[in-house]
Amino acid sequence: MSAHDLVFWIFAILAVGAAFGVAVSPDPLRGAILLLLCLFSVAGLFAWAGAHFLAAMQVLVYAGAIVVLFVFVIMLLNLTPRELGRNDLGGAQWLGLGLVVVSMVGISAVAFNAKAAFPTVGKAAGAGGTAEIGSALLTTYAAPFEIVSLLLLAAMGGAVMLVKRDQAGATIDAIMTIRAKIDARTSRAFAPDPLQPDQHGPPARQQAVAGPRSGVDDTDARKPGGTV
Amino acid sequence: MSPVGTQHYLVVAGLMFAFGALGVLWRRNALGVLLSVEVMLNAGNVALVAFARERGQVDGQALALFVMAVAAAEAAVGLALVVSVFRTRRTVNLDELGELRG
Amino acid sequence: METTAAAGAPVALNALWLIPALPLAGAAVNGLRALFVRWTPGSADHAHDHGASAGHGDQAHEHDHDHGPAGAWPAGWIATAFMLAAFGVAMWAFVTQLLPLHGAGLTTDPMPWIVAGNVEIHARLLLDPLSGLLALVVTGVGTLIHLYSVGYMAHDENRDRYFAYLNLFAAMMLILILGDSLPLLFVGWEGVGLCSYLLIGFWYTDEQKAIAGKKAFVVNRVGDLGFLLGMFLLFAAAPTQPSLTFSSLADVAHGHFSPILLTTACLLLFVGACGKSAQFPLYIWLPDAMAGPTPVSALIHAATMVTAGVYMIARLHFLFELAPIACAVIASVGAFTALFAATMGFVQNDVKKVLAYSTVSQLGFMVMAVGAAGTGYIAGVYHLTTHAFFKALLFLGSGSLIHAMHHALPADADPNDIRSMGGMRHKMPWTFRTFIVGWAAIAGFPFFSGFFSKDEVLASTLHSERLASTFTYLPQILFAAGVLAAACTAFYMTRLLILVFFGKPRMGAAAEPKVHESGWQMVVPMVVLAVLSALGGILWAPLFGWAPLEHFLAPVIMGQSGAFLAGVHSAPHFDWTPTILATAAFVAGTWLAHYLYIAHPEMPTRLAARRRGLYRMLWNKWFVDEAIEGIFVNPVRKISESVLWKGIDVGVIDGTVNGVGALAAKAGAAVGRLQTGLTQNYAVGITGGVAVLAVYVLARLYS
Repeated sequence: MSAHDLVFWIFAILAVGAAFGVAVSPDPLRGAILLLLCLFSVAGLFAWAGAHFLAAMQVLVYAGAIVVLFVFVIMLLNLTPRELGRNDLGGAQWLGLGLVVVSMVGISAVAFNAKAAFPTVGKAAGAGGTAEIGSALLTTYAAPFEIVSLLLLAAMGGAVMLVKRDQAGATIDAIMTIRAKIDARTSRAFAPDPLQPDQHGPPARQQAVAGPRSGVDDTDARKPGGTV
Repeated sequence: MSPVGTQHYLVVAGLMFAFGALGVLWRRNALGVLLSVEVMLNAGNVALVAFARERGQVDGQALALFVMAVAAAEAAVGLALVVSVFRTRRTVNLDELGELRG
Repeated sequence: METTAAAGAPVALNALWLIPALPLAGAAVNGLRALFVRWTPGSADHAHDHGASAGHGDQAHEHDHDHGPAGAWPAGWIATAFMLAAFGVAMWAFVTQLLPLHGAGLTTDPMPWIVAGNVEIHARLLLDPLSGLLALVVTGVGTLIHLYSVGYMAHDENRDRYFAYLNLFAAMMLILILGDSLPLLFVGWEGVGLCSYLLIGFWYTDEQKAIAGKKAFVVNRVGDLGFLLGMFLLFAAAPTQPSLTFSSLADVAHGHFSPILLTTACLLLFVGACGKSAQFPLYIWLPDAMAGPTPVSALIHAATMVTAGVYMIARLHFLFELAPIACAVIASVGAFTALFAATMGFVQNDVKKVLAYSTVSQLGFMVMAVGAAGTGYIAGVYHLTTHAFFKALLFLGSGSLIHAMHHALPADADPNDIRSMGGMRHKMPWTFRTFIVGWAAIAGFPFFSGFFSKDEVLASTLHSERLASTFTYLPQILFAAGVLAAACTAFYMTRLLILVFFGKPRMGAAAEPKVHESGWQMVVPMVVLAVLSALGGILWAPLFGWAPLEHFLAPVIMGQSGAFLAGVHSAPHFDWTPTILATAAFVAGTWLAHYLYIAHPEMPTRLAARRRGLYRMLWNKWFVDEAIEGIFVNPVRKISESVLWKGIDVGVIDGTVNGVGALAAKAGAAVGRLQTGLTQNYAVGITGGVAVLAVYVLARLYS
């Protein structure tokens, strides 16, 4: 195995390991950091494959903006462990895990058996340079380029709309009404003060707990909440 | 060991995708779910780049770029949702957000 | 109507179909009118029942057109006209077509009825001496009773339904008599059972009457089961001719049927006869059947339907002849019933009940005769004929009495009770005169019809070879029982006569003036029947060496081959024993009744007081009804209720049906638990499905 390949292997293992860590880490902040590691490894993989521009973009956009955004929000919310939700494996999650793993193992087996369809490429064929990507973006993929920019605009507007507090509190009132109806139906008392999201007092939190739910997870008894 | 080829990339992508899916399906925390979604998207990007490398074309990379942009938009909106939900319901525990129950 | 005569072969006469068809048409006319024209929902006509208007007598019957919603429709006259026409056809066929044939029969062309595989049962009517005689009896007595009913039912608002049923009954009875195969006989058999039920429960708004009708039907059904089983047995055993006509059965009977099979089939058929002809223990429906109108009792339960069993045995004589054990059983049951029922007539106070038990007893005589085989078949038919005359007469007379008492007594009193009658011979002279003729016939007064027929019954029993072949002294035992029963008959009939017609009137001063004779529609049939009862002995009086009936019926009994029957001819010299003993029985019975009810009227009460137990047994009809109810009815009812209804119907069937519903609901609830509302759970499902699909597709691609 050449050193060239060794680099690949290092990046690959890092990426996969970090991905696994993102999936299982209980604390979202730790997950975000692991995501960062994963993204960097993926950037390395991109670079190894000759997609230099893409690697740079990965670091700049993904690692530099999105993960930062994640970290902002995590820090902002400042969640207590109870709010984080439990993290142990529920019953059906085993099923999901099993299925996912099995299918991917299958795909891997297929991928390796289909070697004939994938000729080994020794070196990058010169593609991956910034110039080529730029020209491709502006010629072949001009329409998607514009549409994606519109999409980004829409996303921005949507995000702002979602977190905006409206003046008269009408949205909150609407939400409160709906919530009151839901709670009346499920006979749970619930009255936090939405205008002071920083109140984390236990009394408000207690009533926010959902009652026992019968569902595919059978560990309701161990859920946090209930009668505290 | 054989030289690294497309199939290795695909396996890596597959494994990353699998773990990302695992996280999406399993985690109770909304933020954790969003993180796992990012992982999945990255896995898709890896596969795209692998095919671009094999064919010597740049289309895969352009597509990966688009995916990145969409991922950014999605992350933004998703996080905005999480914040909004947290404000009203005081929790991001997905177990408690089950009003769709029928 | 060709009458092509071939030697010994039946002659064709399709006009025979008219005989049952005419009453059927009458039933249709009245029945359709009752169904469609008369019935209007919510009609508020009050029940114009039997005693609403006063002022009877001959004039009042012209007004019967206006009473009740039946309105001016002359239902009774229509029905009587159809019956008279049927009688006319029967008489014409009998006199002009049958008599010249000297024993052969007239048949219609066969009508295909059941044709399936190699089974071919055709519907065909047969008029031979036996069925011809009975057809005349049925149509003749039937016409008289229809005429009587016109008067009797004049004020009943449902009389069109009544006459429809009565005509239907006549049609069914004629099919029974004229049918030439067992299945066709059974059609008539069932039909008369149905009509009996309809007519007994005619006033169905009274629950007791409806229950009586139901009881008659159910008990008949028990007998019918035996009949069916016997028929099926014969059907299964007949090797090459599964058509069950009498002629084909006669051909195969001798030699093809094993003795056990024959005996079993005969006994099963006899069970059917027991049901229809009210032998022990299936007689219990007959006294209850008195709940129906009196003409019904006269026609159905005295003259015709109850004789169907006797007719059937006579018809199938060739089978019974070959099964001596069955003959012994039949004769014994008949004799026992004759004696048993006669004892119950001693203490009854309802005039119709006395006559009902008397009918059961006389039927016992007939059954004993046909059980004796040989001349017994002819004797049984003879007694059947004379009994039709005098019993119908007696019932019509009782109907006349009841009619009069009903008008005289207050509404809640029982018009049937003989204890409130008495001295009627002055008040209802015609009824008295005809009734006493009937009394003489049934009690065995010398030279009346009953005297001769009872004599023949006893004689054929005493001389029976078949009975003697099973047990040497059986004929003598049964003969003694018969004589004793004859004495009892004389006793209770004389008792009835005395209590009703003689002595001082007991109906009370208020009612006494209202009792008067019935109208001409009721008196004329009684007179005709009285004449027939008096002169019926003309059919067969061996005492004088005069036996036209025997010669007439002998070809039927001997069959076409005539070879295998023995002892059919009368004894070479006339045997005086039965005659003397029967007459002695008559005298003894009559004298005893006179002693107890005229000479020493206080004796009956004293006897009853001294022999309380025996009196109680007789009064309660030997508790047979209660026994049957306890042994059969109540257990079946309990099983029906607790096992079949609660256990199976509610538990199993309803449980299954409801269980399916509950299962669906539970399954739905279980599946509904998948709807957790947690989107991630849904996502798990989606991913799992995608994974399975992916694996499958890839495996297919690369395998």
